[in-house]
Amino acid sequence: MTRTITIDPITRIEGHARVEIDIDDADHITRSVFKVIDFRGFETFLCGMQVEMMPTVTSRICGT
Amino acid sequence: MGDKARVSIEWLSGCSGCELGIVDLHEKLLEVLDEIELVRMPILMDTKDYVKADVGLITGSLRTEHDIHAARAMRDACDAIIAFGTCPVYGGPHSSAYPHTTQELLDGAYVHNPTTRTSEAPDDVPKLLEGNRPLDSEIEVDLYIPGCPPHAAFIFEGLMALLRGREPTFGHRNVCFNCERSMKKTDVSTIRRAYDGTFDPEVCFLSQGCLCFGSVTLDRCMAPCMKVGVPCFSCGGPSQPIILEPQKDVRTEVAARMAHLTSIPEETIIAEIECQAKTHFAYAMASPVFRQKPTFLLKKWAGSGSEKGAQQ
Repeated sequence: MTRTITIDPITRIEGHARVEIDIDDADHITRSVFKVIDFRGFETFLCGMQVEMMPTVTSRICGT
Repeated sequence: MGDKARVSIEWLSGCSGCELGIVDLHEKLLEVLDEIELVRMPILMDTKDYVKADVGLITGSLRTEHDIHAARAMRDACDAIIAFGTCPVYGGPHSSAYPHTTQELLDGAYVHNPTTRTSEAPDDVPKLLEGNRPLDSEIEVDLYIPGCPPHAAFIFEGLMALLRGREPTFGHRNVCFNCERSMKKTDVSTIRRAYDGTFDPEVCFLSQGCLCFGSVTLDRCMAPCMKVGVPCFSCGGPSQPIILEPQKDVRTEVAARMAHLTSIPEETIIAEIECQAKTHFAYAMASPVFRQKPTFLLKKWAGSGSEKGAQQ
């Protein structure tokens, strides 16, 4: 029987994510997916900001 | 172990810089750990449940449905909640998505992205809310410590005050208090951008015609930026007088001060700030603090012309 192992949330990383692993009858992994579940929209909202602010604001994409 | 206060940490939509802010306590961290027991901290521990705790520290803002669930679960599990960092207090840098719709944000990342081959947003992840929201729009908050991240001195004082049941002795000074530059009258007649030529490192940016928001920003940082030649972008959120006084807004306050120090007309400075609203209001744009002020037009200023972004 196909099983799915879900690790949600993944800890000890920066950010929010989960992993889903499908395993078939022969214990082979048939699918493994890493899902990032947070989204803030930097791609869009940075447009129109002053260029001199970029070093300070883009460092807040990931603070670690 | 039994006498230690149990502290639980959860992150919502943010960058984890505030978790790093805790590490900035350095050897003071040992003093803190004598009094607290960390029972949950996703960046460090594998506790997935919302375990019972005396104090809950929440970083990040409310951006997804998962964030709402996590905030409520923390409120139920913790006796006191600290909104820790500018994101839970005011919304944080992603507040500047305020002039955009959620669909525009998703399209910008997944449909029109020039470097990633995708065509549609994933649908099996928590839904985005219609806007970015501060923590107290959903749950009750007991202590606010803005800062991006808050300086370790404020983190230490905030935690210790809460553990001892007393008021924190933070003070309500603005960023200028710790800035070593001196304000002086000049005959500068045009606004200069931070990259326009060189600036005297000992003189206030405003005196030199460069917009700096230190005078209207709450000091939770100890003014590190001005020491390295970067004007204040207000990442700690508005100062106490701005928050408390309905008619005071950061735009007119900065313009009045700068016009006094230079020979640039006040109206010119106000117009410049409105035109650059997305930059100067970025960190607290999602906060209702600005809604009840003359800055209620923020969405219009930030969304006007080229300010809104090249893709739209």
